[in-house]
Amino acid sequence: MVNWIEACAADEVENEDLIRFDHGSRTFAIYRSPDDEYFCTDGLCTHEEVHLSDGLVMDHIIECPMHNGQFDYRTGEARRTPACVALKTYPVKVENETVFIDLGDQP
Amino acid sequence: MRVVIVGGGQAAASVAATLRKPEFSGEILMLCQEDCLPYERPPLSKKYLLPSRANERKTIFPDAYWPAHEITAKLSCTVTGIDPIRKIAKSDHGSIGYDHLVLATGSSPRRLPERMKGNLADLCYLRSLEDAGQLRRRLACSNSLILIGGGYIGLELAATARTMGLDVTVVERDVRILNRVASTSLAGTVRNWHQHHGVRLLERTEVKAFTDDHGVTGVLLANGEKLTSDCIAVGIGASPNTALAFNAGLQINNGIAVDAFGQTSIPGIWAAGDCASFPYFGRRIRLESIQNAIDQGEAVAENILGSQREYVPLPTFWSDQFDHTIQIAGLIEPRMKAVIRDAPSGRSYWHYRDGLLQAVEVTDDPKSYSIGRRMLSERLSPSAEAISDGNRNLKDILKTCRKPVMA
Ligand SMILES: Cc1cc2nc3c(=O)[nH]c(=O)nc-3n(C[C@H](O)[C@H](O)[C@H](O)COP(=O)(O)OP(=O)(O)OC[C@H]3O[C@@H](n4cnc5c(N)ncnc54)[C@H](O)[C@@H]3O)c2cc1C
Repeated sequence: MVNWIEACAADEVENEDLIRFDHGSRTFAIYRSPDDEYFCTDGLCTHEEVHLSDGLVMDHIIECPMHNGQFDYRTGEARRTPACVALKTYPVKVENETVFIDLGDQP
Repeated sequence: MRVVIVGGGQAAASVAATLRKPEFSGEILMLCQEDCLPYERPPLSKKYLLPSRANERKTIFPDAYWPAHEITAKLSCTVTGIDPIRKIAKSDHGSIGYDHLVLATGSSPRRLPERMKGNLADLCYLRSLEDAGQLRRRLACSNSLILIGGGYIGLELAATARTMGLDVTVVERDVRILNRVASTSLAGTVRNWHQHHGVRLLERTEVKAFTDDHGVTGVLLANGEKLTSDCIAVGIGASPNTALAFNAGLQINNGIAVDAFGQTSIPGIWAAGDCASFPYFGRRIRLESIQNAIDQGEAVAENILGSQREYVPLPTFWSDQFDHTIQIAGLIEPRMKAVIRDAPSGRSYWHYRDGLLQAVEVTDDPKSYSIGRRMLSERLSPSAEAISDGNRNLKDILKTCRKPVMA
């Protein structure tokens, strides 16, 4: 089932940056790539529970601020130890300057 | 081709995982003295000791990773000798030939001289999961703890034990805590945290002897004062495990000496992690950190596969104490001037020498750390004025520094 949730205004996320988005008890990270595409992953690093929103986006990589694990935020793939488990990703669409994420069947 | 790795810690895991690329079909064998697959040591002085936490090791990779990637880990296997001519590693499980040998033997806690111990039954040291298990059981039935050494491990242990409600005293011989590894400013902040939480910090204080009066353990200080407690732990630094390398005739210099590629004085034998010292801007250093174990392990693996990659790291380190996190990028050295920047959650210390940014220390402000680390790794040096201006956004400063300077 599709379940689009309004996350933020498109211009709230700077180019090559990310912000944190909390929804209910969950936390997500919304990214804007250097070519102005938007992406969404779970907000906490899979290694230790650290908010990725404090990390730095470089190209298509998000680097965890704590232990420097890296993920490709487009696919969630873990790219560098100590991170070894992929991040969950969510579909994103931008309509009327607003970013929506699709949480699917999840509550 | 067969690569044999001696050790089963962070560096060994990094070497093995980096070697196991699609194009490498050779054999990878990891010989580990400990009886469990590679795990993370940092939690051992922190969360792991808390009774509220599950008594569980935090593995570097899930257990299924190793067989799935055809990496053979031989546990409880101690390598006892190396024959570099015949290219054989000897162990208590027999001998095995290698094409490349990687020494990732780590380091061991430095010990106090045996004579100081007097009639005391035991002093706790912390390195392995086994040590941590013992300490965990000891702390659970103790009301007080004395820590000898105010370095990172001592202070982390102090914070953990204090969080559990124990009476905690830290005895540091140097003029201050964290003397060789943190700036005076950061050490001041850390001292405040500990004092605020009721840890007794004794700096410039030397231990003369230990005592045991009918089961009550004590510490006799050089100033004549006597402290007593239920448990005494020691964290006075670590020494690299070099005996194996030394006996094989490898060059030793504050650790197993390697070149910029991670190769020892004998071709085909490599070293990485806590046990290795490497060239760094005209001198030789040895680091004890997760970052170094991972990155140097990666470089060694790539060089075994034929790259010519020099390992020139930006050293980084972190420490957790109470609800605070310290993060450091770069090396803290004498003659540096600090510029301090306050953020809502924490603080950052930007260290300059000869007008150039050399290191950044951060407490409870991961965003500033990420940006500072990036500046250092790109060798950018923002002006001290820009950094000290709290109204300027760090990310903008980063962008400004990145702009090529017009000639
Ligand atoms: C309590 C504690 C807390 C720490 N906290 C932090 C932190 O917060 N942040 C940080 O960056 N770093 C921290 N560190 C440091 C970090 O854990 C080390 O730098 C890192 O583990 C080094 O990895 P290594 O693989 O070089 O050595 P190790 O992890 O020590 O692994 C070496 C392994 O080799 C084995 N071995 C040795 N000799 C032989 C032999 N002859 N045959 C077979 N096996 C052998 C050893 O048994 C060991 O398993 C901490 C360390 C400790 C002990």
